[in-house]
Amino acid sequence: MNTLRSTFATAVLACAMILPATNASASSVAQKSISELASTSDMIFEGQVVGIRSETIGKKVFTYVTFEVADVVRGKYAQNTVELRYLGGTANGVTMRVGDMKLPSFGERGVYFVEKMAGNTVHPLRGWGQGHFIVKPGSAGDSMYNSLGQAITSISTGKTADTSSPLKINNHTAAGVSMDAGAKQVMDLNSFKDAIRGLK
Amino acid sequence: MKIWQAAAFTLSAAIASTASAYQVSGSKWEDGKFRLYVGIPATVPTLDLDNNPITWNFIIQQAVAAWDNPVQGLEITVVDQTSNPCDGYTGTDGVTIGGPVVNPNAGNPTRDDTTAVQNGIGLDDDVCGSAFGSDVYAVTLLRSVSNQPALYQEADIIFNSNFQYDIHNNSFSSSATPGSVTTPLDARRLAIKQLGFALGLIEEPNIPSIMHPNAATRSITNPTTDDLQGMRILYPNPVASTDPDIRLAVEEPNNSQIKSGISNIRGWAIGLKDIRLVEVSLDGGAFQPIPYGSVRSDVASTFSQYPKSGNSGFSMIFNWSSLSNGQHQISVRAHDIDDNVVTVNRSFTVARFNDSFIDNVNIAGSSSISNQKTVTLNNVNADNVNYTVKLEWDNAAQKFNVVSTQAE
Repeated sequence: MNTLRSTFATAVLACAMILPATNASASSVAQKSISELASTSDMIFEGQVVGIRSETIGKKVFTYVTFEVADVVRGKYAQNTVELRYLGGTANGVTMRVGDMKLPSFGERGVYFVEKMAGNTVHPLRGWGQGHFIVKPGSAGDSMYNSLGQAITSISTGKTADTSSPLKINNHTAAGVSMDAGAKQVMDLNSFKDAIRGLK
Repeated sequence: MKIWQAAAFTLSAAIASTASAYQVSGSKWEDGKFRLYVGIPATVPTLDLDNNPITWNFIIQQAVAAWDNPVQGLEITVVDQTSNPCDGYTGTDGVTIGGPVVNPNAGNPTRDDTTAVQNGIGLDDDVCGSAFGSDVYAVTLLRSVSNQPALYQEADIIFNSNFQYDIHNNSFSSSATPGSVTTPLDARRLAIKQLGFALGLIEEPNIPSIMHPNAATRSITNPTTDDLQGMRILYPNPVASTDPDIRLAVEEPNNSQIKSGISNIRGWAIGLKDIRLVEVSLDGGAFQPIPYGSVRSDVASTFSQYPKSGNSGFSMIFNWSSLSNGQHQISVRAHDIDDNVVTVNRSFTVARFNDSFIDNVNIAGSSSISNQKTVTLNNVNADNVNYTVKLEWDNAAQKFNVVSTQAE
């Protein structure tokens, strides 16, 4: 298995302990349009979480999430897996919460917008939760949800869906992503990926 | 069973609800005590509402006051002393910022906080060695230990120094970009929100509040009632020696109120120990349970020292016309799990037609006389009986009530 480390070389601490991800909100992130997120992400891929581990480096706690890459939606990537590093998590008896950093859970399938493949960012995804989409099986096939589990009904293909409106601070939902809690027609995975590929 | 009981219990219970939206992280500060070191250099340019120079320290102190003043159970101490929020974290060069960690549990004032690790707030171009990432204005790092996950040990707030800030009441501009001086961000709202995070709230996506993701697009510049309710849930008012075991309020009927038709018996009950039963009696009859436990965020906000005050409402639909015309007594009593009991009595007057439930009303032949707050209708035909009916404006209920009925 080839694994790309998104950032620094890491030393695995033998006593690293993995606990369920925390979900405290403590960040102020600008809401961006889905087209801007797509055009400024190094790589967008469909994948599944196959590994999670946390470790301490000094006083900080990092969580490393390994994805099996099923499809590269935008950008170039030839490996089977990718590892992304999140600041925060639980290791060695210490929990560090950073932002509403909703870490992917083990086994989760999703579409992920990676900001910088070689970056050292607090959150590896562009726009934090705005670049984190979850795939769930539905009656009509794979269906798309945002990181909070809200059903996605459509993607606006406009290039700058948010530039005319006041700036919003939203860690979870990009402008141009339409959601409906009671939606009967949830956007399917392939339509979602096609829409992302078609964004300018 | 008396007629009022039959009427009451054949009708469904009405649960009054005051919606709340705040959300909490699950962790907070022990005993509500939080010490924050604020020593941002005065050279960082910031302007107030009148475009006069203002220091970040003043902004932070105002943000602290926005939470600390209205929440009695919260005790925030601001220390006017520089403290790099990244002290103890490993920087990009691999070196520990501010020297080695001596005491990792030093954020709480009940512990030794003379070491390099304490709650800090500041501006920087990275988050203690990690890049902010695009379009990230501020991050709060929160630490807790596994044997006390419900208590925070340290909080550090870092604003992204690549952006420009001042104080304004406008929406944040969508063109805010790093380094731009024409589209500054409102430091005050960001500081209040980040402090909200540091104290244990998280974003809530449902109603306008300072903790709402889109607060920057609204004219919300301070914690709202909902924000403060959430904070009071985290940090309840201290119990005073004068606080009774049980507080019981009967909001409907009010004393001396004139009642007619169908409306509610309602109020709230809170106890230092759990309330196990609320019951009601009319005119000295047997007590009957009344549905209890509906949402009352307003009560929780005022009496947060009482556990479960947020679910303290009781309410029941009642047909007042099932009682005879004239004066009546209602008694409501609440019991806690220690069998403390408090009773509240109210006197009220019933104004009704001959029938307790009117099927047909005809006012085609009636005439009216009105004055400042009352309307008197003559020849009101109700189920084939003519009445003179007097209506009076009830400001509290925001409607006209029937206050007398006289068969003609």
